[in-house]
Amino acid sequence: MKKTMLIAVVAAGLISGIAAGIALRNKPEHQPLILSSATRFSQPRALPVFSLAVFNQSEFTGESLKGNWTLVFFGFTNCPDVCPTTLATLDRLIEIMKPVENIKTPSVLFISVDPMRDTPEKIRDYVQFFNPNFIGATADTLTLQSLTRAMSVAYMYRPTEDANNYTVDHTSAVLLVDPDARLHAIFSTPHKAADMATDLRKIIDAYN
Amino acid sequence: MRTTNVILALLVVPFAAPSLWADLEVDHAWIRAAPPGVRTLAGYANLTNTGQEEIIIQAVESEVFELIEMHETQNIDGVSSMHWLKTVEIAPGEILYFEPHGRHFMLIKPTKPLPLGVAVTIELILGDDVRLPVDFVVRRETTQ
Repeated sequence: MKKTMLIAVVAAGLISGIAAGIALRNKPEHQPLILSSATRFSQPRALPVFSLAVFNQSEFTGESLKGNWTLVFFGFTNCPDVCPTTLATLDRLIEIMKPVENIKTPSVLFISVDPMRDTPEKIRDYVQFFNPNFIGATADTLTLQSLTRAMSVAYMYRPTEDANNYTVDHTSAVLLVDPDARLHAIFSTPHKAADMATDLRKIIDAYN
Repeated sequence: MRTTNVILALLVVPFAAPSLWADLEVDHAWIRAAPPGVRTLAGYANLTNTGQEEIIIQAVESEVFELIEMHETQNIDGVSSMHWLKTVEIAPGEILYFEPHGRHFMLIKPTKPLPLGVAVTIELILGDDVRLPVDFVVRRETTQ
């Protein structure tokens, strides 16, 4: 009887161990969270190798993103409506996040998809008007294409009524890159700083 | 220096007084402050038609900008794009909002710096060349 019980206990242990192993193997990288403004990827996406031009900085690569949460937004400095609205919202978001203890303030990276008109210096002046800690960058066309494709961002140049001018249509979402330099979540419009801050805290807490 | 700052702060008002011409009332008029050197800014306002007939804005002008166009930002499948509005019609009783991520006055090539708190006069040109001057105050974004 004792022997039978022992076998049963061992068998039960084995079965639960196997079940736990299977569950662990199938477990998504992160648990579902209830978010109001962000959408997380079930598996964070690695970014391609890239190098961005940042004023007065020798190199800004994927390595530069490691160790911090980074909010990334693609736009252009001649954008009168969406880009300044988004950067102002991100400034407000950073302000809201600041008082939270144990959470390192996320970085904000603005990448211009209009390198023909936006020099690194011009982009630096533009983003720092909204917040002196914001990083402004751009890149050559091939790098922009590779990075935007990996981050599910679209952009296209479109002529305006003035034939000598053009505007740039672009994705209005804010992308969240995690401290392992992987695309982790997307904040779609409309952007409300308080809602974004709440979601960001949940995402960071779940990650830690 | 401190006294100057205090006086300047007192002069800065969030919005100018509403502008009213016949049946068109314009309030909450503001220009988003932009970094120096930016060639394109955006102006926003609420336009109310208090009358019984449609009002059409034919054009917009200001001495402070080389050109002003009316535009609308559209978001299609997550991609934002701006579209030129040749005219804007306001139905009787309608409030038309010019606001971020929507309709806006695209203010092209400012002819002088536009510091925070300054009021800029912009004329809305209606039918029969009626011109309604509206004071737009330069201010930071109001975000939630």
